[in-house]
Amino acid sequence: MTLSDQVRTAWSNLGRRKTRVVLASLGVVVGTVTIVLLVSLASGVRRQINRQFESIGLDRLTVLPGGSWGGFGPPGESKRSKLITPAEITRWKSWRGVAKTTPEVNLPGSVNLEVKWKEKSQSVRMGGGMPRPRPGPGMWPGTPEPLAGKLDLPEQGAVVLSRGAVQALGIASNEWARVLGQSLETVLRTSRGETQGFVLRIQGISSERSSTIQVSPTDCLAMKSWWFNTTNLLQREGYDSVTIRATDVTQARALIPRLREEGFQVQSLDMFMEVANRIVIAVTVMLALIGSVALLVASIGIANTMVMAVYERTREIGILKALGASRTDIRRLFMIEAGFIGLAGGVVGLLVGWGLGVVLNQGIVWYMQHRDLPVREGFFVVTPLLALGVILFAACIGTVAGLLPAHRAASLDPLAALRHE
Amino acid sequence: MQSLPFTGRDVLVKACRLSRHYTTGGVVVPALDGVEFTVVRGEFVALVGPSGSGKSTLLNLIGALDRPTQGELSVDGLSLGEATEPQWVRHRRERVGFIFQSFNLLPTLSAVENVEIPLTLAEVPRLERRNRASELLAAVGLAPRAGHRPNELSGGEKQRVAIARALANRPPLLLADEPTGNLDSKTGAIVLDLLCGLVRSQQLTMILVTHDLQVAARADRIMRLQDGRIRLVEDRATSPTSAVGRETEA
Repeated sequence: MTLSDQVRTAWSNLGRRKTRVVLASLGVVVGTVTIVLLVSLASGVRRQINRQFESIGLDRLTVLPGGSWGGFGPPGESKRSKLITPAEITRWKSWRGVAKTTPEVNLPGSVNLEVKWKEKSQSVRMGGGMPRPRPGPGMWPGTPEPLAGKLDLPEQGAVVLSRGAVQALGIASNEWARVLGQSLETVLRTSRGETQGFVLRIQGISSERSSTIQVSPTDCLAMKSWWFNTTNLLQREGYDSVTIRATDVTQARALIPRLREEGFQVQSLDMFMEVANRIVIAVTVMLALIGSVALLVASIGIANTMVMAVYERTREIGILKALGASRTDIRRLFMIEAGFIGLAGGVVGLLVGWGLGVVLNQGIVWYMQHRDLPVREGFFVVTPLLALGVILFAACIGTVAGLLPAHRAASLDPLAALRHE
Repeated sequence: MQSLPFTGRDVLVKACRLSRHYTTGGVVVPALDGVEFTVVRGEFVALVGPSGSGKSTLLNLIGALDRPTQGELSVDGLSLGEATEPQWVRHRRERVGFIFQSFNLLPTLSAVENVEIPLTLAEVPRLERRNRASELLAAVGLAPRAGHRPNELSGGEKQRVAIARALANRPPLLLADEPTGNLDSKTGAIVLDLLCGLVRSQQLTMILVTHDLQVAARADRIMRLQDGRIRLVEDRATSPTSAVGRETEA
């Protein structure tokens, strides 16, 4: 008996017992829906993570000084074995694949910093460089967008305020364009009560929600020098970090070992993304295993259905054997029937799971928009690989469930089977 | 062993000290006990005898549905006692055609689909088997009923479908187990006429089990079984008008 004849016969046989087949495949449907939802959720989360990383820029590297981290100790006792000096940055600029370098200087977190605007003052955090993505109110970082002015690396004497900061200072949104170019005072205060003011010109307002300001590395260096009460800080400590934007992701990857060989520490989003992806893949496998358990339970239902079918069709098996059907013919026939039950359950389960995912995605997108979170896509992503895999898996589960009943059918004595009433 | 009525012709079935014993509740019951006979090609042999005499057992052994306990049985050169499972399958598919008393048609298939079963098992291409099945149904006078399912057919029609099915793979040997047993006498006679006509026209060999002596009278030879042994052989081919009866040695 050819395989195509067996497939046709098996399909026809299943058509005779529709209700039973539907009931047997319901378990597979539930198991498949579970797998589809769990794995598509994991796929969606992975996609969101990758998109967020990509939107920030995978072509960017953060270069840190060599040696142990924590360059904010007392000046003169630098723990940095390899400093990021202006000369180093100039050299990197000449490297192939380097598009842009942005040095950064950071104030220690313990620095008490306030900005004063008219009568109001607000405590803020400060960075000396480009406004960079920071964790947003949700779990995803948002890339700051300009609400007014420019967000480029602030010029010397200029400052970029965050939305959080301007709102705290009582500057209404309709005033944002007007305040550009105006001066505000930034005040550093030591624990001993000493203060020092720095007057800065407002260059732009970013969409950053927390209260932060960005100043030029030179201004930040000046503030830091005052804070540590020292001179020539740049010569002794160098910059705290440099953001290198490579011409593309491949060049960025190529730069990492080169910089490390020179003794610098390098961080890239590509590395973080890889680690995040590994974690998500591990979670995906675990979720898929949970779904598989549901599918395995469903296989018991299929096995039971097939055992009943063998019992009911004993005489038919006897007739087929008397007419020249081999054990393999009978075994394969029943296994294909069981596989079809699994396949049918898998296809229906996939469609139901996909449909549920679409509905949940719409709900999630609505919620995200409602909460003004920077996620515009759903989390349930049914990839072609998942669709194909889950259908094949369901069919395999069905076939395996049919193994024992098929073996019983194949082993029936034809004479005894013919006498079966 | 009996003398051959068809001297000079090929032996198709040969049994030598053939036994089939069943064990029931620790008791060994000999269904067949040291049977010896031969059937030559083209011969029509009727097996008669009371219930439990071993007629159907012998037919099942020849059809490779059962395995002998002792002795030798060969059909068309194949020793069934020593044959492997695949050889048995091939034997059932290619060398024998079964006609059962209870028809044994698959109720979910149409008449033509039932006839196609042996052809499907023999992996005959789809179009070819449909043509062959249609031809056979036409030969048994059921062409207009080809699309009907068994529950839409009369007893005689069912048995004619079964005959067509048995002939599907052109087997040299037909095994008929009381083919008219479930039919009324008139229908039975029609079916038997058809069967005998086909056997004669296609020069097939047939071994037919029956209780009906009128049916047995159509055979070339009648073998009477009793208690698992052949008790009498009536050779009707050599003397059709006055059958020669020979008691066999126990």
